Amino acid sequence: MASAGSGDEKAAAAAMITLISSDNEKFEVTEATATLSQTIRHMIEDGCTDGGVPLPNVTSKILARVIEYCKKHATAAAGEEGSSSSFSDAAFLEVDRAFLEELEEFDDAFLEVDRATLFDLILAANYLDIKGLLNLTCQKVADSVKGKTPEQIREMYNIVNDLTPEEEAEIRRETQWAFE
Amino acid sequence: MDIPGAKSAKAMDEGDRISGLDKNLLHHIMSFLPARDAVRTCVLSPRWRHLWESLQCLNVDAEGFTSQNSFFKFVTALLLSRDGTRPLKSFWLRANGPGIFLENFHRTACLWICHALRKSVEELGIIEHDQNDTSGGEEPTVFALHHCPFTSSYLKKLHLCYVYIDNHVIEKLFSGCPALEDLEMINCEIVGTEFSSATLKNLSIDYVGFPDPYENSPDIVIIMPNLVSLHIGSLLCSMPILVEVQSLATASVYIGHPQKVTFADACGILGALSNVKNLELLFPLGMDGEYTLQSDMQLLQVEFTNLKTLYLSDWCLHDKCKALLYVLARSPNLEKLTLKLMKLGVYDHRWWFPSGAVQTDSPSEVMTPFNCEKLKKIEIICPMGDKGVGILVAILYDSITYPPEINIKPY
Repeated sequence: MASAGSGDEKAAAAAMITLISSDNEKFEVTEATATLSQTIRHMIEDGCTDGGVPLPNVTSKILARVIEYCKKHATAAAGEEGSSSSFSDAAFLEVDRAFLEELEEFDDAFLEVDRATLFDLILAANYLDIKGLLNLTCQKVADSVKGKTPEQIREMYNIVNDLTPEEEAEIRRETQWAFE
Repeated sequence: MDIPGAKSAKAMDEGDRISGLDKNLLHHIMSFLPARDAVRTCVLSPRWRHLWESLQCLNVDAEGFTSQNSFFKFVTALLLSRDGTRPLKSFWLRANGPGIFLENFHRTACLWICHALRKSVEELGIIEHDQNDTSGGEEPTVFALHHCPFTSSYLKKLHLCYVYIDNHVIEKLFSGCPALEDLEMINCEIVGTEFSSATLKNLSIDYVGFPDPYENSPDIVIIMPNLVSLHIGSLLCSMPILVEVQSLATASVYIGHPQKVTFADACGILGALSNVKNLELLFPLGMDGEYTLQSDMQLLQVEFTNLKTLYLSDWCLHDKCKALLYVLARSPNLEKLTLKLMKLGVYDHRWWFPSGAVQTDSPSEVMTPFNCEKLKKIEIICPMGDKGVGILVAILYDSITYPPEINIKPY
């Protein structure tokens, strides 16, 4: 799917952007990869990417992971753009199925991270405005919470319960319909 | 945007990182939760107490509810207790609990839907209980949309599953929801015949393990001048007739109705898709009817100038691949061709390739080879050991002036 190789694509591939992490590490990425981030896309459109894009909220460790995600998904976007420009979620096409499955496998493996990294990825995806990555990481957190009791969730995420037993009982009474 | 990353990095290495997220992010996470789990977060800590009330995406899911009554009570209380000043972005109603059917409390379910529409909902999903599940001891029913007043200038996406749809509903839906762009119907009992909308962009009709094939379903006429993508994936669907769908860029149509599909139908579909970029047209059960392909194809008079990817099943191989070659010769921009051959024995397709070399064609019938300059990839998916493939490859090599590499994938 990445083999369209037209002149345009080569030109786009040649346009490189430098991203600079909070600990001053530089990452060279293609424009196609970088523009999965709406934040960076806007910076490119405004012409303020010369000399690199400083990302003071993202460490090199997390930025490397984010770039890994964007590279993989940019290939997918390019493939779709080549065939249909006006919409991007024709997930039903049989010919794309193998590719989509591969992408899903990539996402699953990508999410095999410790909890601290997962939250760093959420914050980075939010700051960089990368919709797919934000959905992926937030879904992962939601899945871990689903079906758990409040006690289990507190323990899992180190949430300190500073409600008094009376307060908690009151809230449960108010929302009794959700605890039956 | 403040700097949540900097704050959290040092303060919460081991601490409570989730509560440190801003409200929008917590809402985003909660939007992936079933509504009951989302509400139950209110007792986690004071930070969480009121978060759920302003949620704009609600997934009402009957999973985990033990009775229809408790589900019923929950949904009504949820809608009444949330912050009513906040519009809804998405509302999903899934009746997937044991013995829980929306149709059993039809009026109330319609009120919930009506409530969501009044709260400017943009994406709405209505999933009735799985028809294949008879564990509740009840006769499965589909949910009828009749009394739901579909009037909304906000509704953009509608997903329906195990819902009964007739002409009356369709007409009300399309006239009452002028912003509707996406319509997805999975396992719906569709007795409607005319789908006519000037706004719809994506239409998807699918049947996956629907228990009750309805034999004499009427043909469906689709008149949608702004449709961009069409997906009909089904073994029991009625025959779609496509009218005014010139804006379609992507179409995937799978129809298995051996009594009904004819070559004329196939040609009718092809003829309506002249501007399509990605096309999949498969008839998994083969087809019936008079073999009139040659004249039908010639009647088409269509050029597929935008076509880039094409995926066909073996219906197009009849009579030495006439339909296939016809389309290929008129698709100057085609990049990828995939052909899927069915298993031998189901519908034996070997007869399509006359064995022996008896050439009885009159000279006028022999096609001159044509150029498919942009065609870079041909893939043939076929049963292991299929003897027809060799002939197919030979025909392709004879017909295309500079044929690309042909990959054969047995299954």
